[in-house]
Amino acid sequence: MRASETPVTSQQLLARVQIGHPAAFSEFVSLYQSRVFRWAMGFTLDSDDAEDVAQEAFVLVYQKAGSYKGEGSLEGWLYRLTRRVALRKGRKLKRRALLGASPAARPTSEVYVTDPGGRVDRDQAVALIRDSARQLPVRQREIFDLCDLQGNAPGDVAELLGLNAVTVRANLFKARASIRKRILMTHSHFAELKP
Amino acid sequence: MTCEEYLAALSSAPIALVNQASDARAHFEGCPECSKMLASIEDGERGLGASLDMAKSLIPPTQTAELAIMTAKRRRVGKLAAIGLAVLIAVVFWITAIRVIVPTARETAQIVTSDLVTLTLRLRCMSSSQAGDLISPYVRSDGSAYYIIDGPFITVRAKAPELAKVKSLLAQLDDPSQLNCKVP
Repeated sequence: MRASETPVTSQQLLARVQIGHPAAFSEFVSLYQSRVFRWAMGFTLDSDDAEDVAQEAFVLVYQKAGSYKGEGSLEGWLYRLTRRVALRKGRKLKRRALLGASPAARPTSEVYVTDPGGRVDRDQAVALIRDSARQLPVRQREIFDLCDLQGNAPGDVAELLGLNAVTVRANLFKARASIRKRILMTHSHFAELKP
Repeated sequence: MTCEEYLAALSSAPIALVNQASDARAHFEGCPECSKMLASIEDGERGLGASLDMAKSLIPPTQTAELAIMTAKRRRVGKLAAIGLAVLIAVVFWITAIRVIVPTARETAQIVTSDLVTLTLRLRCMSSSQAGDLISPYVRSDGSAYYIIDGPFITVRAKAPELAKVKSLLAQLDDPSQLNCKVP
């Protein structure tokens, strides 16, 4: 959690944003853009969508700067705004996919082809995990991303999400089990062990 | 431990933990099949993490900030316009309600209502007692009555529908053009 390195500066910047200081807002965006974008990537798994989410998150930051009262971490507040935007976007994409308006929004069903006996190649494994992660419930996906892909400790993630540490661990366990099972199933040896 | 047990551990434990445990590490290094599976998971998770980390926003922060400020301001204006429009619609509705809807509703209610209405009617050729005889079968509801007074008048207290009937009856029969203005 890098926000703890510069909490005073970030909060001061936000205070200046509240009184309508564009330069302060620009500085704030410079400070957090990559992090917000990375969080957005975890939700959308697509850089174009993440770009939209990050942009919209900063619109919300500008609009709601006054709602941050300094209680809790600034990073947590920012994460929750990003999360809200990403979930809204996810719902919109799902609706579009249901209506068949956007073929690109549909989940790819066969990104991976089983290679019996052989080692799964890296790109295929990445594609498979990406596809599996896309199909996870949002909570599991974000916890998997924050813990296993971004390397945060479950305790820190619990604090960031305002959840119980046990809940975070349980979701992480389910996410890993779901993703890894899919990878393991592609190996003939595992399939033999689990008929 | 068997391959199945190690793989069960691998299916939910952190990779680092699996690698730290010496017996698990020894197994995964020694068993070619399990080693492939561990490598797949490691490669996949590390690869996905790296690809997500490497993806960077292509929009410069200053542009993001400018666009965000512009969008926020535009939305604020839009919100104010929407509120203004809503207030305007409410005012128009209120004025319409006060001027048109409420009086119309009152009139309608007066017609439909069961309240008694009192009205004095001028007679053109009938005497008031003749008119009384004529209208008496139609003025039957509770509290209704008619009053015969000197002169060409009759005062009727009745419900609105009864009163309407009385008026139409008198208009039809209290007609000086009819011979002797006789009551049928």
